[in-house]
Amino acid sequence: MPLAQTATTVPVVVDNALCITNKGCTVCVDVCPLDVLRIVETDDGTKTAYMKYDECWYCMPCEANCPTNAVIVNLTYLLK
Amino acid sequence: MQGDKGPVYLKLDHLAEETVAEIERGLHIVERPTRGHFHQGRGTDHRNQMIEMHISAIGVCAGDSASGIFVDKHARTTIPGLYATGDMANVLHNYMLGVFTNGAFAGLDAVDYIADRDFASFDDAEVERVRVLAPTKRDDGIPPNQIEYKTRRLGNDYLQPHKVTARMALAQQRLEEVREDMENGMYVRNDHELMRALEASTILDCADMAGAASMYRTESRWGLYHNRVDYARDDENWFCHTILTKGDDGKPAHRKQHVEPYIVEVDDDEKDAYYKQRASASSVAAE
Ligand code: SF4
Ligand code: SF4
Repeated sequence: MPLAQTATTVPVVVDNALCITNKGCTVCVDVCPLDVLRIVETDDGTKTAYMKYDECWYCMPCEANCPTNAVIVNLTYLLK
Repeated sequence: MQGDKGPVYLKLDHLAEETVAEIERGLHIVERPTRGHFHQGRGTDHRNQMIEMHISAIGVCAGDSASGIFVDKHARTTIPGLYATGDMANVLHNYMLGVFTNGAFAGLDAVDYIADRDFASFDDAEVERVRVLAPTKRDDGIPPNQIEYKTRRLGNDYLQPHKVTARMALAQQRLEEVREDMENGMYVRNDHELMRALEASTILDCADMAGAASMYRTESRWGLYHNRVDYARDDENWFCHTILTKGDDGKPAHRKQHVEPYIVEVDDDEKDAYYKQRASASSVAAE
């Protein structure tokens, strides 16, 4: 199918500098009941968690369980 | 809500601070952790104003309604060996505490049930595999999020109270079309989308059941939740459970079941307590 790009601000932001997935952590990915977080390799070759699918429930275990407080769940504009 | 009498509000601004704080603790921590952030972002506070409410889910779960998968006091469903507890079982206000307690009853009963039993054979496994994997076998088609969106849209716009018979009939017709699209055209590209495809199919089942059950109960009951504009409350014919099953044609079938007497004696003037929780627009305006 032809795919289009629609701009949207995703709620979950991960601070790459704080994320320690390089050391094997995948806690946020594992606790998300919606299966929307993934690990990706960044441009400089390190890895980080990020929000892949924009289907958030705003339940927040990802933020609460991240050992380094790298995850923030924001309320996006359409929910305000 | 969508009618000319709306909106509907949650009114807490007449309550004592400690009561509001306790309710907020439930709403903002247990129920939905982002709800406090939401009110902060909007600058709304239960303490000094009424908060507008809206219904936005196809309600078959028992957490907030009186419906759900039928279970007995051991949490047994009508299928031997299958149990249901928590929000999806027809145990009123089941929530977390309810599921822990009722889950324990289910577990104890299940231990006895399986004591001398081997695994059952499952004849339909192959049929089920074909159904589940069908969206992975196509080269193109409708993404599951669009099936889900359309289903929810129809549910929200056509099936929610105030319930209008003609509107619900339209929804049933449109939902049948969505089912055809889903069964013949849904397309997924990866395991995440396959999971969403299964959810879309479950949500559609819920919408179908909600519509069918609402149409069957030709009266109004439970305040707003089953307010059918074409019918008044009718205790003589409808003081009963309605049981929805899968009919021989695969479509929802219905029957009535009588309500067991209360286990704890309830005073007559308490039986309608549910209806007295609500403040009418005129009583609020008079304050
Ligand atoms: S939980 Fe935190 S540290 Fe772990 S992968 Fe997720 S963002 Fe990175
Ligand atoms: S808030 Fe909930 S649904 Fe959203 S990414 Fe975090 S865990 Fe997943």
